[in-house]
Amino acid sequence: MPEQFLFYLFAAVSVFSAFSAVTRKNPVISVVWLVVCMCSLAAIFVLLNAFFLAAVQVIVYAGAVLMLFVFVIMMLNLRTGIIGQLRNMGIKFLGLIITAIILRQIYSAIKGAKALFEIPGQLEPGFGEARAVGELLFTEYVYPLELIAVLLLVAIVGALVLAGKETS
Amino acid sequence: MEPLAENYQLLRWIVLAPLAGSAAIALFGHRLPRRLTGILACSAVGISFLIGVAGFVKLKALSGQPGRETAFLADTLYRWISVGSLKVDAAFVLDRLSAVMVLVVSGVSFLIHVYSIGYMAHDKSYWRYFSYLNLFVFFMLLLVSADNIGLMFVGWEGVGLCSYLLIGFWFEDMEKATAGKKAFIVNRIGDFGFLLAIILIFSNLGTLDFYGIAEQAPRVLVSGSALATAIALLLFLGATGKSAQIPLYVWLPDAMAGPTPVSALIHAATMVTAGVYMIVRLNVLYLLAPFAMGVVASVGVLTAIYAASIGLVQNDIKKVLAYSTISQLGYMFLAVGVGAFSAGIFHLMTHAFFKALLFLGAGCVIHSMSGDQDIRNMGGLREKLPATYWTFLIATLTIAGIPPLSGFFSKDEILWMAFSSARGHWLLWFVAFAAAGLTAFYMFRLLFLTFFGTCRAEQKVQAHIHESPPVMTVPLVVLAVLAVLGGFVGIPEALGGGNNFHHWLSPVLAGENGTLASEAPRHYPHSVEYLLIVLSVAVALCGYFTARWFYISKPETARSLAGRMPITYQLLGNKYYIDEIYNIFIVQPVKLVSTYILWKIFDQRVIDGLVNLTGRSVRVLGKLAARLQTGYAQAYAVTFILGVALVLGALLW
Amino acid sequence: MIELEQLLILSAILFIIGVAGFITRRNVIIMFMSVELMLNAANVALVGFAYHFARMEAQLIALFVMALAAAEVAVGLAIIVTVFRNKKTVNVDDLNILKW
Repeated sequence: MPEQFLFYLFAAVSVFSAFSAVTRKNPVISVVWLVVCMCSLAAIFVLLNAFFLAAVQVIVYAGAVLMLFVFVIMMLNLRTGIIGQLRNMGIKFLGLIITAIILRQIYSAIKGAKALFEIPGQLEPGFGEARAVGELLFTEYVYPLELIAVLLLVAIVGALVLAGKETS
Repeated sequence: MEPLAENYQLLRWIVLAPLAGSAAIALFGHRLPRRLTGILACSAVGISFLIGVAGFVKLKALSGQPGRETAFLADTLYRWISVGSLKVDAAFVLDRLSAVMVLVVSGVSFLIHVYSIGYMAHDKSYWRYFSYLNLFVFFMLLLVSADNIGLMFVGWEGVGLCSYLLIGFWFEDMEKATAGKKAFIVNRIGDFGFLLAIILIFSNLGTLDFYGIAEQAPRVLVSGSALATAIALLLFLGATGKSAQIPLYVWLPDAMAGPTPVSALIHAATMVTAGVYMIVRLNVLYLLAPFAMGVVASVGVLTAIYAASIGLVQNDIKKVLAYSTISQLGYMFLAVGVGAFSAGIFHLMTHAFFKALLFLGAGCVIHSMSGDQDIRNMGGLREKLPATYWTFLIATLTIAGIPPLSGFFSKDEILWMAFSSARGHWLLWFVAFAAAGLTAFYMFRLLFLTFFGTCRAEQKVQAHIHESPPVMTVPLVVLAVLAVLGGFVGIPEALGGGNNFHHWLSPVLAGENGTLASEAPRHYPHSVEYLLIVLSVAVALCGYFTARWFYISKPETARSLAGRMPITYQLLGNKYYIDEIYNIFIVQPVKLVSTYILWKIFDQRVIDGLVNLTGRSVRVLGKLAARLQTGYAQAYAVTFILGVALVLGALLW
Repeated sequence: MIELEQLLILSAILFIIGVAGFITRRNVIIMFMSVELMLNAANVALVGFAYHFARMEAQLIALFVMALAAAEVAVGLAIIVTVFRNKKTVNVDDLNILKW
């Protein structure tokens, strides 16, 4: 089925790019790989009938957030490998082991909860489209919407205050 | 017969009046004029006495009706302790036994308070004295009118406290303060036994009030069982402490460091009799433990002769009287030990009269001798202190047991019961009989050396010798009258009397009541009793004549006898070195253990060590925990995910 | 029909990569990106649930998460800029004065 094939394709791309993003030395390259990851995730969203969300993902994440990252990297003028020697390897190694354990645990949780997944829903037409999202957002979830708006305002003000130009 | 209680609200004031007096004097005494303080103190005790008389009259009327002999008056203040099944009331009872005790205690206390007004007139802590004295009377009355052991124990401890306060009254003198401490500490050893007994009584009989105990004990305790004997012996241990018997009597001679009226009141007439009262009150328990009774009687008679032997050679007027008190208390314990409870109380009453009289008379003598208490420096005071002499003479005759004074009747009752009672034994009688002879001897010795012959004091002391003021001599006279007449309430049947005292008390005492299966006294013909009476009078007269010979006719006899028996004389004079023995075997070991083991090891190393350890470990753990705060964000992140892993693990299992 | 199990496993893998990146890298910016990755992994799971159980609410939550992430990035980067201005470093090992 094309669905499955596409899913596996984009899943592989996202995992690979995520891994690359996290392991590159050059921060700008890392950001670029993350953009690739975001976009492949957006593709997966489309496959899952979350059209509006896929659009928002590309616009907000890939288009705004990660661009902000690039701007900051540029502003701070970070070069590759200006970070000094390795320290605290012990803790990091322990952390990686715990990470692997967590992966194993999540895996067994997923496998164990298979019974709960037995009742799939029927997808109505118009599921995941902008209209459906808007209907819910402005009726039942209007309070969270307003709160998020306030939060964004606060974040803007905060960012301005923190990183604004120093008046000497 | 069911005891019948009748409510009598005035009872509480018998006990509370002296407490109020003590508090008032303590708070305001230093500002009041001396006269007012003295009157206040005496009135407080006087109120107790008057209410006691009123109660006595009412009780007599109430219980005089046939079928109601065990009726008594009761007054409950409030429930003091209510914990689980332990219920102790602050409640008073005036039954036939308490009535006798209340009258004796409050009456004699009143006379001694009056006397003290004169005796302590020049003392700088006048009001403190009367406050303590009133407080003592409060505790003593509490002790004798409590209706349960718990409240009685409060009084018991309280009189011990006041004894300490009053013995060490002139506390600036280190010796006197030490005497006070000794009294309290030795008492505490006895109190430990008492407390254990209380615990045993409560856990086995479920009640602490006296009438409840009297009811339950025959049902729960098996006669002669180890439990009953243990309770009785533990109680007796408390009694030996409070009433100065072997082995805990050592505080009483030292207690003479206190003011003489204190010695009269506490250490002659009232506090030391608490042990006897306690045993009589709990006679049911003792009747169920024949072995313990035997111990009581033996210890009593042994103490009697032991103390009398020491009194023979003492040179301090108060020490002679102190040992005499110990000896007479021995008689009382002998009486209760053979089951003659009413005889013990009878002797308690007469002893209160004549011993208080003796002490107060000694106080007058000391007062006139400007504080000197050594009888070797006295003599010939007969002419100069007539009132003191005559009352002292009457008291001496009484204690020696010369008829028809009260001492004769009470002592004789004891001797007779020691011989004839079901638990008596001729050996007990014999030792008591010998002690009686010694008693007569040393008392007349005291009399002769103090009042007869030529005065051996220095000139300037002699010039000062004067009779005491009436406030001191009137109580002497009153006590003398009581000493003379007091015996007539207990004339035995053999001599034609009705033995009223015995019959008055018998409804309260189980043994003679028939509710306990105690053996009936053996029956001797009256002729045996007459014989014993004649013998005891004879031995008293022997004592008199011997003393007369030693100290009047041929004064050198005493010295030469002492010279020929130096070891005995030393031994007696130094009270058998008992204080030294106790010091070596008990005091020093306790001090050593306390210092080297309890203090140096346990307190310093273990307890301090534990506390320091806690502090140190907190610091160490703190330092360790502080290492977590590396300031390093990724370490914190690792901690987060470690927590996540743990929670997931917990959830998945 | 894409199985929920597959989606959840994908989400888990992405999340783990994010965590590993977070605790391993010394560059603060990269650490922050790892956080974004973790958030995205959560979003994937949410959308998966929405798809499988046909509930729109999960997509809404994912929307809120995105908005939140945007706000957080704004403030977080501002903080990083301020720190860099003061300490002239983005090595997280050097930013360790918040300790005993």
